Amino acid sequence: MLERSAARIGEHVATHKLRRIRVELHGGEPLLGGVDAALKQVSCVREAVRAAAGTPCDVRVSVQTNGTLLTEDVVSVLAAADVRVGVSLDGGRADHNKRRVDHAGRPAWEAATRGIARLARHPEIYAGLLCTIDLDMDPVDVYDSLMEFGPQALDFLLPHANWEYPPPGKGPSMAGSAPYGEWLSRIFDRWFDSGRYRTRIRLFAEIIGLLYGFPSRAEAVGLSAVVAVLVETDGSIEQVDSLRTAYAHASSTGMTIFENSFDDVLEHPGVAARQLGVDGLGEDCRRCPVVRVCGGGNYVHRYRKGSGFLNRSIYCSDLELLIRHIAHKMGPVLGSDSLLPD
Amino acid sequence: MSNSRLEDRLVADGPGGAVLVHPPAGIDPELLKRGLDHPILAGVLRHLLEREAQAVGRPVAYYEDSP
Ligand code: SF4
Repeated sequence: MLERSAARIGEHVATHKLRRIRVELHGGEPLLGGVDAALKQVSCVREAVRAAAGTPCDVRVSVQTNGTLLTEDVVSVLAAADVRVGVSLDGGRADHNKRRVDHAGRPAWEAATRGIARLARHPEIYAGLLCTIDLDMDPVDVYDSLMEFGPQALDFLLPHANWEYPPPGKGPSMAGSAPYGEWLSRIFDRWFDSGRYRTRIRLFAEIIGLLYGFPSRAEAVGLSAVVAVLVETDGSIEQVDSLRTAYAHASSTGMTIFENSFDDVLEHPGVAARQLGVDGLGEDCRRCPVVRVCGGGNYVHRYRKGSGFLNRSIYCSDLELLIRHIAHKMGPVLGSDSLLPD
Repeated sequence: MSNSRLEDRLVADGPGGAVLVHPPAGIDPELLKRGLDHPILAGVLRHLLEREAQAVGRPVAYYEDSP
């Protein structure tokens, strides 16, 4: 299975003469099987790419972990193999992370903080922190506490939700409210007005880039084509796994690494729909004044039974509020009041 | 970190050393220059300019569950 996956990756690199690819080892907890197993996957992919590609290709590997298994040895081995490590946290303090337990059901906080401290001594592989938003927590407290871990990159993720399963604090009758946009705006102000660039916050950086006219490189905002596929441990090729939060098997393509190339996946309607930019959006989004920046938000958050993904995001009002807030803060700095149409 | 300007070019310092890039097509160079006077915008712009310079028009892989 591993060799076949690696060979498919090599084939794709060779076909498109790619100079750089990203491979994410992703869980569950990808280090649970041991760092040696993870590194075997990494070297197998690098070897297959070297063998297949006619030109050098930089294979960048990342692992996203809860941090509890980052012992001194594991971090050293990952650093030696040039594997970047991101850690998922719910905030930067023990009480923010009460729900996080390790594989044995023990509170994960102590082990995770020790792991991040070790990781921070290897800045060359410390990719940053991911935090899913919890409205019950104070945003500035969450941000400030996460910054104590010195991440070079940080992102705040909207909880996966859709029109059938709205997120906490935002029922169907509250679609016009924007608690997540307000929560994020408070962090934006803290970051933007701090006077010193200490970390990149991905969502904010992407929105700033989009307001300037750069293409986006994120699922959360913008109109860029999706450029990721997922290989399951049984060899099936799937769309990004977050789609499963819409309905069972939503991420399935029916393809496998044994029978299909990654190019075949482009024929899948779900993947093709995410290559179309504004033409792949529903009517509300196509007419929206901030669509160039918002792009309908994360595809997954648009789902509604009956109309599928041709809807605005369940986070529509949050996204619009945040985007306008950021444009409003940038305007005076840039001497421009035309970053967005009214 | 330097925010030097050279005519229509911008110098962006980054982890891989300084890279010299032209503002990407469609992006107002005047707005870029003003952004470089703001500490946070300058940090973001350096990152975006480096990313675009390395991408040379190709899509850049991204995945939400990885920072
Ligand atoms: S989700 Fe809402 S804010 Fe975003 S493009 Fe669609 S209508 Fe506009």
